[in-house]
Amino acid sequence: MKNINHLLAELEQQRLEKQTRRHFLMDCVSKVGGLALAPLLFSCGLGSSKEKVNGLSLSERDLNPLAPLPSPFLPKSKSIIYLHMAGAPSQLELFDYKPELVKYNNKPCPESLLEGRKFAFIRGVPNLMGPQANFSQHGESGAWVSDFLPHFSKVADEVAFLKAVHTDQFNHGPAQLFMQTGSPRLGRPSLGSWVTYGLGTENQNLPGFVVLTSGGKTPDAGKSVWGSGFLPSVYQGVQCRSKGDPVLYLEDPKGISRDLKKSIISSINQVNSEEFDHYGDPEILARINQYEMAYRMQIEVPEVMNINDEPDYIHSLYGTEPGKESFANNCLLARKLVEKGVRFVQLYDWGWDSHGTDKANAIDLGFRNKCKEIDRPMSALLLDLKQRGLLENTLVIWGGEFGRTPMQENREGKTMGFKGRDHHVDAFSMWMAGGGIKKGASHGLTDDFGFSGIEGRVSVHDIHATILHLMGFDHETFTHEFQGRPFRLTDVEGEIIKEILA
Amino acid sequence: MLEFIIPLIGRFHPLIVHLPIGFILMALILMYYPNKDKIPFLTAIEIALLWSCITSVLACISGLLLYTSEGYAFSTVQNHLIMGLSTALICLLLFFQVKKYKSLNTPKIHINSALLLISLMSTGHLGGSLTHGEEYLIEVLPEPVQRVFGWSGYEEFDPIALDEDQWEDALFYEDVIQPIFNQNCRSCHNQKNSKGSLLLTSKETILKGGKNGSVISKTSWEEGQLYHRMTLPIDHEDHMPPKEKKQPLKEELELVKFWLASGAPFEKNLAMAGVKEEMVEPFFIKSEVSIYPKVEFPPVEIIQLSQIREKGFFIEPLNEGSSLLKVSCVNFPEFSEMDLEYLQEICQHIVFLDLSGTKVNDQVFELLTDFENLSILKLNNTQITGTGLELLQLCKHLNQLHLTESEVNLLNLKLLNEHPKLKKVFAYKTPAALENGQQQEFTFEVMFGNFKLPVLPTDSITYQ
Repeated sequence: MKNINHLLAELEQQRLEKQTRRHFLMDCVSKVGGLALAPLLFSCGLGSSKEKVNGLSLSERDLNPLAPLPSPFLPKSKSIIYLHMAGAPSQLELFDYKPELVKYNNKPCPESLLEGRKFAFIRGVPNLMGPQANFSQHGESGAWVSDFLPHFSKVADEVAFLKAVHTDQFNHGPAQLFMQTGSPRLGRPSLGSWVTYGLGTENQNLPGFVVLTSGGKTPDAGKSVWGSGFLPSVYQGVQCRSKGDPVLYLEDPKGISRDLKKSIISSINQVNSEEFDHYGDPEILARINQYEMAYRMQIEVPEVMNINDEPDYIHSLYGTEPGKESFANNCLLARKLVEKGVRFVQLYDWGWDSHGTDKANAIDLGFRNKCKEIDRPMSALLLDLKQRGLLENTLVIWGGEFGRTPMQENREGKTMGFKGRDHHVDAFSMWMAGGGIKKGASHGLTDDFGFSGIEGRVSVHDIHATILHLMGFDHETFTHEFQGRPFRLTDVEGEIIKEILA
Repeated sequence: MLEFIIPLIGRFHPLIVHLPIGFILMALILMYYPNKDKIPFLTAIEIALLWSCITSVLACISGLLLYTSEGYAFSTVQNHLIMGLSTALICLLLFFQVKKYKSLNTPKIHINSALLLISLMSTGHLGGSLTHGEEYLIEVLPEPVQRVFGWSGYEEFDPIALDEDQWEDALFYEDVIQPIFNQNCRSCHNQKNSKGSLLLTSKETILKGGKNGSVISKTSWEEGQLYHRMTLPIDHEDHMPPKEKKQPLKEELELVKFWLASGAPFEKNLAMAGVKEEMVEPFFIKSEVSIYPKVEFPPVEIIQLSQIREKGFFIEPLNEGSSLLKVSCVNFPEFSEMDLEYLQEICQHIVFLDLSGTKVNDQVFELLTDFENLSILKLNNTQITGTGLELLQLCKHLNQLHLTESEVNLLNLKLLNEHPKLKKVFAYKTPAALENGQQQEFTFEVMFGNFKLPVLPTDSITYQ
């Protein structure tokens, strides 16, 4: 009794303390300071902004940041599966057939090509290296695909090739950032973040932007390649584990029922929303939403992320082996996620950096094995999407962060033990398939060595502009206000590649 | 040696004209100043009128010099010139009247003052139209108001539209070049508004050229003003269209260039002129027809959409501003056909309906007959067997039907034959696929799928 009275007295004391002259002055100082600070914070993307995203005011969106939104224009695709080959595969052994290069095999590279150029490892005058694969034309479109991809050559009619893509970064990290965020430096939102920011996602029990990795490592550029940059962090990619359970702790812990968990989460969220009322930091809202998403994921994730129970014909189509980390598993998961209404599925497969320093990254050995790892799964993915009617509104993109040189790498000017190619920014190949893409198209042409694009050169910004176009955006008007100016994915560049649109 | 004097004085016309405006207004204000006894003003009024006369004569002279030295066509300046001269005359008349009567209260003076004011204003307006263009005042008004004024500056012209199969027969000038002029040049070079006296509206006017003569060079096509000005750097003062106006597409510019280079033919068709397909390819009419019907309704109230969302549906417009809706039950697995009643009120708006993975059964088809604009229907992974599928014949716009992993059988699938719009049915992993559906004839494309990638000998090789 005595204690209680003591507590009550203390409470009263505290209440009274709040009303002293000193507190009044302190409050005045902090609040007036806050007023002065508000416009500054606002310019950093904090504070309550009246900005509207596709007709929904930001506050409406705050409550459910992943609520689906209509795109400004009628979209051709509603989901994206992006297959990124981290390390940059050689276009000269896959899609860019250069018969002329054979004649120059082992001959020194003409000086004119090297003038004023910088390479990551090549020094002095390297020798040219002919294609290490055999090429033939496939399908009605007559697409050139090498024998490193025997399965893919059967589905070549489904895709549109870009043969003269160029970038301006010759190191993996910056080049991956450029390819995924539109800028070679840190701090910009990734493609997946832009898309989920602009469109939300249909299935409210799953993240809108899922990242799956394979090949033993994650991309050199780190998690920023699927980061949200200056967009609210709720739009960053959600990385799922590539081995074992894709998402941990989906089961309820022993002795804790789903209902108890629900009430724990709602209490936490209540505390958090009071915190938000006080500070107005949108990151708190992101946290609230993450708790809620985690709870809702318990319903859907166990089913969609489980490939153990897939029928045998699916396993044999994709070449999946449940429980192992593999590109094949990720391809199957990608299809399942898109089927369930996930907006953006980003796959990274590591191990494509074929310098020829050892067996594992020799063009004719390790690289060929890597091709084998992706050949069946990516072909299966296209076929499976097609037979389920999903390819009509799913955009599939394949590519690396740059290409590889027509010259054999001569690290530190020495002849190397294995056949390898150095990083090359001037010309490389990518392909796209699915909603809104012209089947069997091929755009761009490289010179006889495959060194530079001579026709239909497209930049990374052009690719982004095209992707946004297919999702129903005008890349020039799809912006986010940050630090006092609107930012866009394509910066001040980018032209839609009309040649590959249906 | 001093021939520059004349154009120089001429160019002072826009400055000088403001002097009579000021003096005349000054005189009129003094004359009609609300004061009973105006006699004390009389001297001031006389002075103001005298200077009005002097300056308006000067304005007329400088105007005439400008007209002669700058090569304006008489028809363009005619009205302004007449009104300017009459302003000066009325001004003189008024001056002498005031001097003569030493009074302001005679009817003659009132009439003359009124005439002076009117002619001053119309001269000023006509002069302004000459320098700024006739549309200067009207073009800033809202469009409906512009139409009240009967201003047709926003005349709409069709862009180039070529048939992919018969583009060679299209006329180079009539179907390609004139539409380019219509889109990019016509707003300033038409009968109503002919900047530089140039009309780019017909063969005759194009050949006639502008105030500096022909715009197409007979001897060397690159020297013609038309080509020269269109290809100047955009920041150049003489660049056409002016920097702030809409610029032609680079494909359009290429075509104009090609047309001029081949001697500006007015009668040839594209094939005769040697135009290549890739040059006109961007202007082919896209034969692609949207899957969705071209209908518009008053948009569904946001509150109504929210209520439907609360039931568990996913619902959103096809794109911003569209009244057509996309509905899915992706987070509503308990959905059964009875829940369609929530959508009944807005069923005309719904063009995309995804009921995949729900508890829906064959009775759904009867309820869907009201969804007359439905274009894509997804019933993947449901218990649908297809009994009653023929009712979908009533959904006249149905284009795609997704029945992947449903229980639909071949017999029922055939009920859809002869559907007017149906293009594609997806029936992968259905009883219908197992019943050798591939060998059946349908009036639409059926995807039975079951694609396989054969095992290749290379599959098991590891390259070492």
